[in-house]
Amino acid sequence: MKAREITEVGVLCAIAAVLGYIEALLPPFVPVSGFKIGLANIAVMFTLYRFGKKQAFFVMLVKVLITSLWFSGLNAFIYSLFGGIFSWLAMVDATKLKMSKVGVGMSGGVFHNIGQIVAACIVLNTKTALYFAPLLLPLGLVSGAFVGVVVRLLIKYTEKI
Amino acid sequence: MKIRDIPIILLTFVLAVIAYFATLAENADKVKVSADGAVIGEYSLDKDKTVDINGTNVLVIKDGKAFMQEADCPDKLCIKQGTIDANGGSIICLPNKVVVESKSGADAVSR
Repeated sequence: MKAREITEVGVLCAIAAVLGYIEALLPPFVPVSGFKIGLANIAVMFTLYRFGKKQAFFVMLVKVLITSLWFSGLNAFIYSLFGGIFSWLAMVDATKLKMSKVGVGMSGGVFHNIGQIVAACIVLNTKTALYFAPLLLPLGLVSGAFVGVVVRLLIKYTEKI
Repeated sequence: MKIRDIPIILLTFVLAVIAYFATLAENADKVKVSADGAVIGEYSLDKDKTVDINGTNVLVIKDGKAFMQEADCPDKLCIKQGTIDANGGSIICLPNKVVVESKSGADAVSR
């Protein structure tokens, strides 16, 4: 890794953590613990396009560690980690399938929520968490599309830097 | 948006519909309360009752409806999740790992 890349990935980790923090401050707009718009996914997806999947995974992991251990406690860690890994995998696969940036964002958003539901099913040892899926999955589509649009703009304006 | 994005949209709605039918309860007449994976008890929706769940949450059953009245967690999301009635539903408190799910008597036998 070049020094420039190390620096940029470090800055992106910090941005991801701050976006996660801002999100934790917003009042939850869905009465389901753990549902997030996925603002921090903007940084993860941007890293995926600018550097690659390894760097994006690293940014995701740092974001999960900082936001869940710092702001919401160990309990949220497993939900956050499952959401992060699922959405990273989905975004990597979506880019391989040559989806547009909005499509990649939507994949990340939907699978982030799938990961959190899977984590809840494991932690709570019940399939009851599936009850929220009909609500959470389409919401992931919407929030993911938002992330995709933001990343598309970011890439457009940072191409020359 | 491109044509290639359509699969993820279709997949989302297919999964959402499957999850909807997988959790659909028919003629729910009981609620099962569990905390941290252990079953605390099953209560009929027909009888008014107040259930203390490990001192962290209070579930109230009234007029055929069950709802969470109190929770010691900061976000109180389980209270906002509303009521369980004959049409089924569930209340989940993630911080305290409390799950309240609807059940029907006939269903329990067939399973």
